[in-house]
Amino acid sequence: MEFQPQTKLIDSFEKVYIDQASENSEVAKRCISLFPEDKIEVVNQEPFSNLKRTLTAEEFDQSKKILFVTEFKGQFFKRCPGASQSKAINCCNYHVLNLGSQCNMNCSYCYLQSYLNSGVSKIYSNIDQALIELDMMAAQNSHHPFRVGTGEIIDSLSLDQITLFSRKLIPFFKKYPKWTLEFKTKSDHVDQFLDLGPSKQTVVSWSLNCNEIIESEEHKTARLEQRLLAAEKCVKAGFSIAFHLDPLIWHPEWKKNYSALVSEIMDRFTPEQVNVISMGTLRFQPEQRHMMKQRFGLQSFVTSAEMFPSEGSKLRYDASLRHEMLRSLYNQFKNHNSQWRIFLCMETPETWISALDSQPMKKDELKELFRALPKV
Amino acid sequence: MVSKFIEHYHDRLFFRPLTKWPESLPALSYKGILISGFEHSRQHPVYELPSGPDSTFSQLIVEIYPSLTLPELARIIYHPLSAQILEPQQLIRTMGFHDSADFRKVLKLITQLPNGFQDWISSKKVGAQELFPLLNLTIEKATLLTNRLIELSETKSETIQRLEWTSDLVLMNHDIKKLLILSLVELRQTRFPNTTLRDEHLKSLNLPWSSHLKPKMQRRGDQSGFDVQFFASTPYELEKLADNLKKVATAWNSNLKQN
Repeated sequence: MEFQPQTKLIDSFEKVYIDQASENSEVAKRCISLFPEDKIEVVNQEPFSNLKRTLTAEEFDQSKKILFVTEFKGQFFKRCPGASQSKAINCCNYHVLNLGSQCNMNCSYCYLQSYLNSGVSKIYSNIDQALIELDMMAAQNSHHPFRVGTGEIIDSLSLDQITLFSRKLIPFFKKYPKWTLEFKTKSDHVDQFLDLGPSKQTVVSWSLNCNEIIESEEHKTARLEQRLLAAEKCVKAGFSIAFHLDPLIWHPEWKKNYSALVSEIMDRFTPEQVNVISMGTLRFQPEQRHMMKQRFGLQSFVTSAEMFPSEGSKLRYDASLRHEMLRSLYNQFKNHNSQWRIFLCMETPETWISALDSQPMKKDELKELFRALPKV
Repeated sequence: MVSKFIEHYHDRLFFRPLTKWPESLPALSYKGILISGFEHSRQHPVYELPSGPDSTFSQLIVEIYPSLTLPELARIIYHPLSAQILEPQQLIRTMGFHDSADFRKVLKLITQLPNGFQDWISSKKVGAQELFPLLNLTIEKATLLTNRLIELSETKSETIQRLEWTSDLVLMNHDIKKLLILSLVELRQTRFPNTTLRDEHLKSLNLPWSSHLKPKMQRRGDQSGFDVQFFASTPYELEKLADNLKKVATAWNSNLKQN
């Protein structure tokens, strides 16, 4: 039987446009079968293409409610943006496979606010082309341990109950056992692919935060308990899992609340079950501030945060606070069990040394992640 | 052809241009609207520019006023007479500005702010993005704030900083009247209370600095630390200072670990 998405997911979209050129694609046909007829419209150009500029807050909000199924014309597979700043930050060799853009969830700190310039959420219909691209790359690089994630400019799984892309990707990656496929999500949508396990090379990962921050900053996402339950399901079905404690957000009770989050993880999972845990503190581009304030006011822990210009031009917390936050969580994990594999996401060598007393290449458990790979 | 004088023109696109129109040239009009030479006498001659499909009003404006400042552009676009003859998007783009809904909001807001502040924006070449924080305030609060900014006559970067911090704090429910009387340092402390405490803690550390070292606590972006000056006239003196620096580092480190 075809997998049925949650009704609230279908209801969250006001309109679904299908590019004429994509009308016969699998994902378009599935949208036609899932959404009410009056929500579907076949078009021959991108809706709201006059908005190809910085979006206003209202346009950005609206773009979350409009789905556009279309072909992607560029290169699907890219290095993580962190790689371009590798002089300033330690790069963990993450690669990204973009199968859509925009997100149906609504986090106050989301970097897409300063990144997207389209009035619609896109799902790319030509995933087969993406797989051909990966096959071509594999011809030369299948023996290198590439980590490929699908959650850069779209949540990997929040729309997967509609697209079912996971069901294509998981079997595809089995051809290249050295490679790792990583889904990164704040949803609890995993039921649609659990039957494809076991697959240790598929890492299903969650951005986690403490309940207080999820409540105030991560709107329309799955609650912490839902995310952890989904992670447990994945472990049971034989998938690898990972957690991203990122962004850690300062709030008056941060020590207590983040400590409770770490305890929850340690109580429910073992280091053997968790592929890696990445950590990072709040950061965003200065250009994003205005839209964030317009969309979330100044009563948010993100918009009212004390941020300063840092290396790489992003705004970050005071360095000593960042180090204190990272060190506090890191020590809690390591004091519990030294086997937890923890790394810092998009952080400078100075922060690594100051927060963790070391650099990634000096940590046996992380060497493989940070070893330089051929550029593709 | 010159056939009329300024006194004949009731409709005037007076937008307070910052550059004076040359006395030796006739004033210009377009579709019966005076568009230059506003400051000249009633008897000053006026040349009526031809209108036609090949020349739009936006193009004419760019040719007549090739370097409009942000407030001048705002005053033209939101002049009541412009609605009849101007295509704002074309003018904005031709003048090299990045058009967006927020850019338009800033232009509209500028026209509502005190003239002194408008002139300050022009003279300091302030960008639209730097004024975005004002969009979050009511016009009454934006007027109070910008009047104060002119009064204070601080540097451009200080003024922009004050504008952003004050706007943030107003949105965080602080009383604008109390904010307006704060010094920039006090304003910063109010906007960044936790960082201020951390900086003060660093400053208050009792570290064993030698009297020959002159440490000055500084904040540089997201980092705070010590800028240390010293002078050594011999290798021996330098070694002694280096030994002292090591002691300071050890004491600082142990303080960090205690916290």
